[in-house]
Amino acid sequence: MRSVKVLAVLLGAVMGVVTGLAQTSVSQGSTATFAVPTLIRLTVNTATINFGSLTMDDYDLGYKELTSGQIVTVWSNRSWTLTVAADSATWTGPWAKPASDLQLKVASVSKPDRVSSYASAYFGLSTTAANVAVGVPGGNIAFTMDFKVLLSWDNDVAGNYSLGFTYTLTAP
Amino acid sequence: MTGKRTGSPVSQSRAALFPSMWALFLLVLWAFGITAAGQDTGWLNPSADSGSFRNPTYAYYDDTLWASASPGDVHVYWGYSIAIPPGASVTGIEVRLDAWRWPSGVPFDAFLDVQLSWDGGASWTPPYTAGPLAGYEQSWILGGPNDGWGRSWFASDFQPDRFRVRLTARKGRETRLDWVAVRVYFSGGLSLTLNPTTVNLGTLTLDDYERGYRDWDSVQEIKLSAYSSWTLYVSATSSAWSYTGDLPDPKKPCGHLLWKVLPSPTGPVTRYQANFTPLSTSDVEVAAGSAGNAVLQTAFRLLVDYDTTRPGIYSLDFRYTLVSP
Repeated sequence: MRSVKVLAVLLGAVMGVVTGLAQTSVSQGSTATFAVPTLIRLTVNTATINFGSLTMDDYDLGYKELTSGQIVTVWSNRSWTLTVAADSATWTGPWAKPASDLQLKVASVSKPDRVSSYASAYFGLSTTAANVAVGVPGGNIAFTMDFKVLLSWDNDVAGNYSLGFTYTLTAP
Repeated sequence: MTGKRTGSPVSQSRAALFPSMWALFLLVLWAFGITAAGQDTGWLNPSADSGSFRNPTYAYYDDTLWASASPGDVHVYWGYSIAIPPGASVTGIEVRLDAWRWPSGVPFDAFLDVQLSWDGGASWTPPYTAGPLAGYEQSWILGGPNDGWGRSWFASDFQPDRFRVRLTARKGRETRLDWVAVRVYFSGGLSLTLNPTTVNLGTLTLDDYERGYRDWDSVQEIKLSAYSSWTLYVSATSSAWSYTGDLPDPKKPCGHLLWKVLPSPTGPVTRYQANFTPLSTSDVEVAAGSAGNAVLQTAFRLLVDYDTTRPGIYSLDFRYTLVSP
């Protein structure tokens, strides 16, 4: 009887090996690919910043401020830089009012973790691009912009004034 | 090949074995049954015949009915449902004859010659012979797991109208035949094909970033064939996508490629992953099923985010593995 038990144990071991060896398999490889170009998008919620009709109080104050006058939104899958520049050195109007009389700043940012730095203080426009913000890849990064036009009793005669300016988003 | 080869009957004697010995014997049978599982077709019945045997259809099944033949009678059986998985190599063929001579008391030798055809009866192998037949039913197994009856066989040879078994009764008074069955042995009976092999997700857009993913606009068709139960796995060959570009490698995780099996796969599929599942370097079950041919369609989704999806070209190798126990 003992020999039978030993034989049974041996058979069990053999079966285990045989069962393991009996498993078969076949494999096929596959490859997934995709391409990512540099992708950037820049939008503004309104193209016109209208200060309206000025008053004597505005002149007395020396400026008129328009808060939250515009929302600029950025998408980029690379690190990016947002700049702004005046289209011309002066306003069109009764006199050659300098572009620098239009000032702007970033009032708030929707995704601060995607923005390395931004212009939190007013600065005057020029035809040379100035940084509005610099950031890392991200999407739907919204900047709320405040504007200020500087006024002078001495220079700003009555009339209609306009100045074009352009935002540029760069992802080198 | 010349001459005739004679088979030996399988013993049907009732040996008085001790119960423990029977248990061991059954264990051995079970062990080798496991080894053979998936490597042969099992015994298959014919479904068509022609010739001069009497009651020939009675030899279709292993039952209590029999066909009978006189010396010189020739009969051909075919219509065997022999399924050889694509990619499998046929290693051998067995023909089983459950036969005897009648009347049993008459001491005339009787024989059955067996030949195989692979082209609908135009060509035949040299014969194997069962006999001399006893006066009682015996199972004669001719050929073997590694016996091709003198030729190499291909899966196409086993189409039901092409593969045939020809029996010739020789000598004796009457030969009785209960069953003429066929078993085919093969190896490597698993196949797996992909179409296409490349999952090209194309060029991403900002909309993909905003959505957070990009769905592949096509499907990958997986055709598999297995003789026994099977399980299909998938795994990535690396933990991160390969990146080519001018930026530091973002090491996009392989898990950003999700996959799922589309509903209603065809064939014997018993379960499948119907929900998007991240690819990983470990094998993850795609589907499982029973023997046969199955077709699955997999859809892919790429997760897209600004941190790990920088401009450049990405590729990821992954692998399906079909396992049959």
